Amino acid sequence: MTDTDIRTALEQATGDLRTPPDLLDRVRAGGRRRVVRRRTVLAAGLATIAAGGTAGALISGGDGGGTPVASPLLDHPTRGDLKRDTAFLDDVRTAWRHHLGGLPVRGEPHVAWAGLAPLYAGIAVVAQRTPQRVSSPIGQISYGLTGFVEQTRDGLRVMSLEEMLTGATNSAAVLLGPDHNVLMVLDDGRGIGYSPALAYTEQGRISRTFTPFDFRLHDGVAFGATPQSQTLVRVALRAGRPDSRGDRSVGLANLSQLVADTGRGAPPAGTARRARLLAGPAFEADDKWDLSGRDGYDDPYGYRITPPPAGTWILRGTTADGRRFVVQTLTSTDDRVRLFLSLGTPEPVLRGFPDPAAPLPVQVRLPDGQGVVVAAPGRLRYRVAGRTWLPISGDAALLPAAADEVEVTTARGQAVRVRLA
Amino acid sequence: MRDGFDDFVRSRSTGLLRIAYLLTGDRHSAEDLVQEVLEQMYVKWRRIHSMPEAYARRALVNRAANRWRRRGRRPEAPLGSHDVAAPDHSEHVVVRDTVVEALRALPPRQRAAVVLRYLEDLPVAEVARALDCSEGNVKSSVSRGLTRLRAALDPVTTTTERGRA
Repeated sequence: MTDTDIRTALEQATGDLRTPPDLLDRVRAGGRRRVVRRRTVLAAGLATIAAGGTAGALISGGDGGGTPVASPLLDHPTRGDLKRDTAFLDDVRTAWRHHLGGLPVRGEPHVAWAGLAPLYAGIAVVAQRTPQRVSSPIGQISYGLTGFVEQTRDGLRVMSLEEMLTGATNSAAVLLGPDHNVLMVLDDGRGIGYSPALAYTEQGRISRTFTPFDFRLHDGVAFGATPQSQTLVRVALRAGRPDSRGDRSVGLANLSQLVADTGRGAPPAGTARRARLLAGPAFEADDKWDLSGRDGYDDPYGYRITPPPAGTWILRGTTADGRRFVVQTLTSTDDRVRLFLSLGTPEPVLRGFPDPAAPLPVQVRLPDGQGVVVAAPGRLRYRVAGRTWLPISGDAALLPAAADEVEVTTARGQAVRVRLA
Repeated sequence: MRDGFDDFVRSRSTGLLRIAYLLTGDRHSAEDLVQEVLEQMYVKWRRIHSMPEAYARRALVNRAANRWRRRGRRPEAPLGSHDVAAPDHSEHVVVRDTVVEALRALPPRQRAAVVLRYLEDLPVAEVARALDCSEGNVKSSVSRGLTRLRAALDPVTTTTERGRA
């Protein structure tokens, strides 16, 4: 039996396997839950190391020594307008040590930046070396901890705690204040730019303009105001230069906290993506017609702290004249819903910004008398010219072109009639 | 923030499921394993997105091995009681069941070495990275694993070839 035979046998044994079509949705939902738990996980992981666990192998020696990894956060002098305020710096280090508890660290905590935020109290960025160890399956070395520290009425509070890894960029931004409306961005050398809000092109693509920060004004840090919102972060940040891995995103250090505070960590019932096959052959899980994640249609440099208020839809099918279609809604970081139709080709046409709270949020009349696509969370039926109501199986359908009215019965039992455009 | 994650899941999840299936020998466990690994990657995407394949492979191998350790010496449930695929009796299914049974009989690291080397067609160096061991170790694991796999598969493939003749 040759190596080729072995390969063939293994391929035969697995050739029928396909992932479930909703895998991506499940992964996203599970991932979001894990993001919320991230702080706890980090603390638990570090505590394991403190207790002498086996979470990582030391690179050299029992003291976790070896050649220290260079880092501007650890190696450069303190910057900021409070850099000579020794009392404040001491208080910051004390708060930091108290927050770390018994975690294994090396040397003293280093205040990389200390200053006053506009309309806000003192802020500091702290970093401290830890015993170096290989900590990820791809060989990244964990060498320190860093976090933002804020002054509150009750004293100094460590807002965030991140592991410092080689080949990775730590969060450079944080939202400050009780209303999270003061943005602070640390200059990480990548030329970070700021976009206050997103806009849409006529085609429904997301458009953002990024203006580079001037980090000279606050000695290595920039501040910006963000519109106050309990559930939305309207700003986006993008690095002008990608890092060594081509990444231009900028982490928000207290994103997990914001998600936990406002988003409660898990999507509310009914906010999942609803994928329906209305007519025609089954679709592939890696369907190229799906706009989610396609360049220009999502907001990769924005931040989401709550799930979209309404579920999104992706409705696929084939018209009677044999053309494939996809009707899809997308919700971006501003919570506005866009409705798209792709007919015959995967290129979408924007069909408006429906109200997600409307009784029938999705209605798209296909050209050439090919019918009307409708969808709503609830029980549906339709009729033609005031005649008998006809049932619809499920919460979405491709109706005949003559259909002119749909009745939606919500989960609460309320029936609402909607005239079709 | 997670640029490329969706594309990675869409393009690679089936491949990862195939690896997971051969590592666990069970369809449902494999799906759970893949979902767990992808969720883990979702959280860490910003740090790992330049090398997602390597990360995913290693995480799958580690988690599958941990699962095996947790199960200890308890006998594994037969594949048929878990697999949701519609049963049929083609030679294809015979080969599949034999492969899964033969892999199940291998120690986890041998099993992972064979799967990564021959299903994924990875170079020895890549397999060594995924298993966190030396290349020599991979070669010996693959060699031992293949010997046992050949012994199990030879009768089946011989029979099916004879059947086609």
